[in-house]
Amino acid sequence: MAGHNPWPNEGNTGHIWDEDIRELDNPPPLWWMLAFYAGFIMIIFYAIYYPTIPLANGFTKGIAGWTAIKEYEESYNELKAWRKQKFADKEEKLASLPLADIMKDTDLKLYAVATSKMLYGDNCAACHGAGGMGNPNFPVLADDDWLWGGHINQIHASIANGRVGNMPARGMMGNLSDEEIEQVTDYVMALSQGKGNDPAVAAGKAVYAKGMCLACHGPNGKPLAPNGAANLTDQIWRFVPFNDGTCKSMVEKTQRDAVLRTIKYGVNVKKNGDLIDCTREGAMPAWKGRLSDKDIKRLAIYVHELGGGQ
Amino acid sequence: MNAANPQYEYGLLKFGTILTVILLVAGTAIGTYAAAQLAWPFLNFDIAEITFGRLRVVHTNTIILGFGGLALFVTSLYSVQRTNSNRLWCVPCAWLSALFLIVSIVGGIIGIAFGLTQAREYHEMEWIFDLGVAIGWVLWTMVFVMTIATRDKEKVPHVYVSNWFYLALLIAVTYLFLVNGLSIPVTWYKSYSLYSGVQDAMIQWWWGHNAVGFFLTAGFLGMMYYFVPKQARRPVYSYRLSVVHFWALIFGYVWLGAHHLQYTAVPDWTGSLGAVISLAMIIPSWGGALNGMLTLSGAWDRLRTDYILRFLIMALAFYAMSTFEGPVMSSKTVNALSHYTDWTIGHVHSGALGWVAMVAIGSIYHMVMKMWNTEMYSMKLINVHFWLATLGTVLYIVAMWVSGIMQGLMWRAYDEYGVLAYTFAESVAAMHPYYVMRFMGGVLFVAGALVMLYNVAMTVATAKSRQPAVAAA
Ligand code: HEC
Ligand code: HEC
Ligand code: HEM
Ligand code: HEM
Repeated sequence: MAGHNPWPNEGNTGHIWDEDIRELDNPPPLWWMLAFYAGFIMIIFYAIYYPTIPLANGFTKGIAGWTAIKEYEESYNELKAWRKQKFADKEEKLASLPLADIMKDTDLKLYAVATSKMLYGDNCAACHGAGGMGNPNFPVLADDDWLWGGHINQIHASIANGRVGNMPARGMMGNLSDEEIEQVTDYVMALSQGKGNDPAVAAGKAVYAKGMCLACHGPNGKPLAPNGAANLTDQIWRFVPFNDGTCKSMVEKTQRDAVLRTIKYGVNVKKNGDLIDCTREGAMPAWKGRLSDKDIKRLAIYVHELGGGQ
Repeated sequence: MNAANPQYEYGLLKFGTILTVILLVAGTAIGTYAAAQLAWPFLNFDIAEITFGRLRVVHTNTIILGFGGLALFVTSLYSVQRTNSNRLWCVPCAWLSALFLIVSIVGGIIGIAFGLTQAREYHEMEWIFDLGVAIGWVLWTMVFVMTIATRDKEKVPHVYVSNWFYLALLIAVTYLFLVNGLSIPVTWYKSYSLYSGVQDAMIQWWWGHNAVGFFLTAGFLGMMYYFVPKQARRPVYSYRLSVVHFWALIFGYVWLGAHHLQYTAVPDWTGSLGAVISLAMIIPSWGGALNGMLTLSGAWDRLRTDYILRFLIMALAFYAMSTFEGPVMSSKTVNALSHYTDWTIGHVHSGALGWVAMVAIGSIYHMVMKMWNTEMYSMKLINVHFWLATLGTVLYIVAMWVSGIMQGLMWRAYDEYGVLAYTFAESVAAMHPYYVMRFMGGVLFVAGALVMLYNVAMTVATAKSRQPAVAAA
């Protein structure tokens, strides 16, 4: 082919493909060749410094003595040492003092709150929302409306041991008719607006007594002592219209529909071990054993200080 | 007239080229939808088949195996004929190969959407489809090798460099794919891998990185070596450079896998080895980029008028960029920040959109004009496509750089109490604007791909009536 090279003065290799593809005889740029060799030299130095070369049993350790786990532990220990030096006394008190005493020490309390943000964000916010603002089906933690009590020890118990509220469907005896449920729903809606004594909802008030709602929610819609049942005299609703696919028998459009659903199907009602269709679902997991005792205390203080602690 | 040379087999390649463009549209559209889901999660509408976890894998398979694989298939069989002045060896074998590849890949992708997966990245499809891909692949390799072997050695004494790269791709992927895919089938659609634990991770990333190294790099370099000098009508800058960087890449790439496994349970030496060989790979990679770009020396002005050349040269620029970025990310210090973040995703797509897609797009335009023996229906639309693709790519990777580095920094930030400063959810929320930006980049890129599909379709439809009189004669 070289004899037929139509571009003889171009400095090409004389090879020609597909009529016009050819290659020049240029050497690679000098800087490129130098960098290319530098790469090999770098490999040698790197291999001396770091563990790099496999051997028949084991591998070269490198003069730096570097290992990944060592690098991790060193930086972790550095952080731990720094924290210890700055906060050892506070951490010590958090671990040993009873909650009641911690709550009297403003400084310590603020410290506990400041160091809980991550714990709360990674473990609790998925259900209770950022800053305890709540989510559909999950109670707000940032207000003073408590299902299980807002005293620091009650909050601590909620977190450590978990909580499951239960409410039977169709009243304590499960015998309320659809019509009665409509009536008592009207009554509950009126209660939440402070109009529980309105004659228009007298029928519902009677159903409230018949269904023994008062056993849990208290005679006037306000539980006498925290027992997991909601305070019905305010406008704070945990169960809002939220068509998430757990209820095939009804569609919730308004808050009244949501209340009606709760009364009709109850909370955490099971049949043969499975939740029944449309019942409200939700349980607070227990954190004892999953988080350290100290961190549970920290979180109890954090939740207490979100705004509604008593 | 060379373009109409009747000795070359174009039927299969014409079919394959059109399918490649369709797969480009499909793969990037699916990617864009996946990107939209990351910004607005409700878009999965609670339908299992299109939730992000599955759609993402459908995207990678459609775009890499489907679009990338088919682009390699058609360009390799096109250029191997022309650089060896030889008709395709056994055309029925080539058709059979295409049939196996297309049916298995499409089947595999549908399987993935319905939840059938080996859960090995870039090797998700179940064994039965795997087998089909392997048969198709081996047939393709045979056709390719035999087309070179049966050439007229008097007329074409040397094998052109594009063919070395394609060969490296075909051989390496054959054994990598087979070794990584070894598994015990238990039903028609379920198998268990032979590997477990650390061995599994090592084998998986030995394959995973070489899917990048040979599939998305070596193969596409082969494409570059044929189409850049052809489109520029200039000689390749340096023969010696091509020899040196070819062998350096081939020997280097197979050691890199462990840079995907820094700071994990694999032995420390594997990570170091992966990191240092990666760093040493910058210069060999740049060898390819340089050789392509310098091929234009003396013809730079042509970039102003030749839109196809623009695609090819922009591809080389992105190639140079991503092969600098990759090695930097391999180093332990940078990887400690970048791993698990969107920075990796940005790197992937600067290679995938900027390099792989652009070089393939340029090559396809060139091939369409040659095979249908006509000008493109609209040269202006190629320019429109070029700008849509470039802007889309830049939007995508800039968004991912910012969000990736931000993620990395947020995850490791401590506050004044020595406690992590941000919750994971906060870092997710902070990504939202960048996910929207990436989505918009995707929309631009898909729009470009649609323009291409239109342009190619119109070219094919009107080819007969517009063929230059000389050529037709
Ligand atoms: C899986 C979801 C979930 C997670 C995670 C969760 N909770 Fe709860 N939590 C609940 C539910 C549901 C209730 C209401 C239980 C009931 O009364 O039925 C609740 C109740 C509570 C209560 C009692 C509220 C009251 O009004 O008396 C406190 C306090 C509480 N959670 C704190 C926390 C803290 C702190 C964390 C994080 C460590 C946390 N929760 C994690 C679901 C969750
Ligand atoms: C065995 C105790 C018990 C009885 C009896 C009971 N409830 Fe409940 N009720 C609960 C619990 C526990 C909850 C869940 C509290 C929460 O998390 O909001 C609840 C929740 C509710 C809610 C939803 C409050 C919200 O914030 O969304 C309404 C409304 C309600 N009950 C009404 C009634 C009515 C009306 C009756 C009588 C027909 C009744 N309950 C009987 C225990 C009871
Ligand atoms: C419009 C263009 C594209 C868009 C919008 C897009 C979008 C996406 C998205 C959203 C992901 C998932 C990222 C994550 O998990 O966080 C992804 C992953 C991926 N895409 Fe694309 N993509 C596009 C084009 C391409 C092309 C052309 C290729 C290859 C040639 C490609 C190859 C990949 C690969 C390999 C991954 C997996 C990355 C990893 O696991 O690290 N994409 N893409
Ligand atoms: C010398 C060249 C290159 C080196 C050394 C390199 C290095 C790297 C590194 C270190 C990672 C991140 C690993 C992690 O932290 O998980 C990575 C990911 C990736 N790179 Fe590159 N890269 C190079 C070139 C390219 C090119 C040209 C492409 C073309 C598309 C590419 C595609 C990818 C893909 C798809 C991933 C994601 C893998 C995954 O996690 O799923 N790389 N690369």
